[in-house]
Amino acid sequence: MQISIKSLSHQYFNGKTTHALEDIHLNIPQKQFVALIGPSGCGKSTLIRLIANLISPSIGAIKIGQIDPQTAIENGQIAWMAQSPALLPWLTVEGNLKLADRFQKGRQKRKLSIEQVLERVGLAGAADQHPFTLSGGMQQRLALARLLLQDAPIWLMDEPFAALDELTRERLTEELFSLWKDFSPTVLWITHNIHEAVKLSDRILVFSDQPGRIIADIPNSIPHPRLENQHDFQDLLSRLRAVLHQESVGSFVDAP
Amino acid sequence: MHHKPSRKSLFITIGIVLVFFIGWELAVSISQTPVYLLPAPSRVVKTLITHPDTFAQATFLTLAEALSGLLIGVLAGILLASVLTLLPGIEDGVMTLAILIKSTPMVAIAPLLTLWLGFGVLPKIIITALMSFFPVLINVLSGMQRIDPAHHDLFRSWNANRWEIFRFLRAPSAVPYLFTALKITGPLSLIGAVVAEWTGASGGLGRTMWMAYTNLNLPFLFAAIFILAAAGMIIYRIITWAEEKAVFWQPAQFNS
Repeated sequence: MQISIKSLSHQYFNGKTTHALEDIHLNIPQKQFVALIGPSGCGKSTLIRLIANLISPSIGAIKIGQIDPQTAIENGQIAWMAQSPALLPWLTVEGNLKLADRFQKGRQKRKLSIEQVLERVGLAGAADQHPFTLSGGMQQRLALARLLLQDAPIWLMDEPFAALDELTRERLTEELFSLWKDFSPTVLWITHNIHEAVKLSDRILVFSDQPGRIIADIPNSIPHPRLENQHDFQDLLSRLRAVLHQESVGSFVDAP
Repeated sequence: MHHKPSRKSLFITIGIVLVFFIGWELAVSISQTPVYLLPAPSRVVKTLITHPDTFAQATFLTLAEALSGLLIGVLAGILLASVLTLLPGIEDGVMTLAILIKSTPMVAIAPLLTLWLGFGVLPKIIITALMSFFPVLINVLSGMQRIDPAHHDLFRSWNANRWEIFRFLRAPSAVPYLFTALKITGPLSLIGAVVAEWTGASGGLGRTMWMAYTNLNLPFLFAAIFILAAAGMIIYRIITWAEEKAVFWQPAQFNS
């Protein structure tokens, strides 16, 4: 499912006005894996929150296929995952998935059952456990299973693995990539890790500091499997570093 | 992970209580304090043993009043907190009224209720309910309102409506807060019943205490106090035990 964004701006009012996003134009074809990178507080989260209809834009329009975000949410076309696994601690692993399943009622039959998604993320034996008995990595695996269960064509992911240790994060990132290959959703994935962005994505959007704008839109067509010691991998990394460096120097010079 | 009182801490507790009572016993016998000022604990226990029926009946009545009032107050608190959570528009008005009631001293209301409703159990139950109601309302309301934003985002992404968010997220999130309130109001409910009985009653520990006080029969007065203290502690223990079962996902306390 394609996402198209026209002249989108967003401001927050909390005492003073914060220009979170300014004049965003963006077209994301379906099944694309897009990484969003940029300094903290640059509006990346705001953008995907707008697409998920968690907030409403000040100016501009978002279309998901032919429909607006509200309708897309009502139709179950958007799955959301954030840094916190947001599991309900009083429910078991299975209970958490059943609850998510409740909200899929009336929609077309999903691809995978609860048993199958648990199997897929490697939690098959843990159905009766409670989330507090799971490690941080396993909790995010459960959140991934819940996302799979939703069977949505669009996945919005706000730094889903940022709170995990490096090894666990690497594993889960690979897992995410393999899920994307198998289920081909459109993915918008916020990350602070440019290595991961280069390794996984089809396209990298670099955001500027406030007000958030897209300052670089870089296609990434390095063939998989991508290895860090490859030439084109290193080239893209240096290019990203240069853009990000310029951005941070720029904002420093612009400061009054 | 959950707190279990260790054998060592149990011995320390018993030791401290024993030291207290032995000290009291010795102080009374050494200073030759007359029994109408302060009876020795041994004298109080003797009074308890020699009048088992009197104290059993009084205790039963007071406990019945206290627990009925507690139940009504707790249910009313939960109900009103739920209504205020689902209809946030009326919160300010209702809370102002609730604080007004809370700020009125119960020792002023209790005689009035006795005047209006007589010496029966009803005024005692009302006073206890009024005292139990407010802490439950405040705590459960905060529990329902202060949910994890990550959970809220998730439910919004599922297109959950207000009622579904209440049922599956806000209500279970408030359970730990409910127990915090119960730990306050549980033992307090005994005080409510006793204060109400003190203003005029046909039975109960409050009446026993009042009669003993007017006759300067201090062993009787202290016997009632001992029962109240023990009952309050037992109620508190039952609540903390139930809390550990119900709120199993939270580690109890980090003492010991």
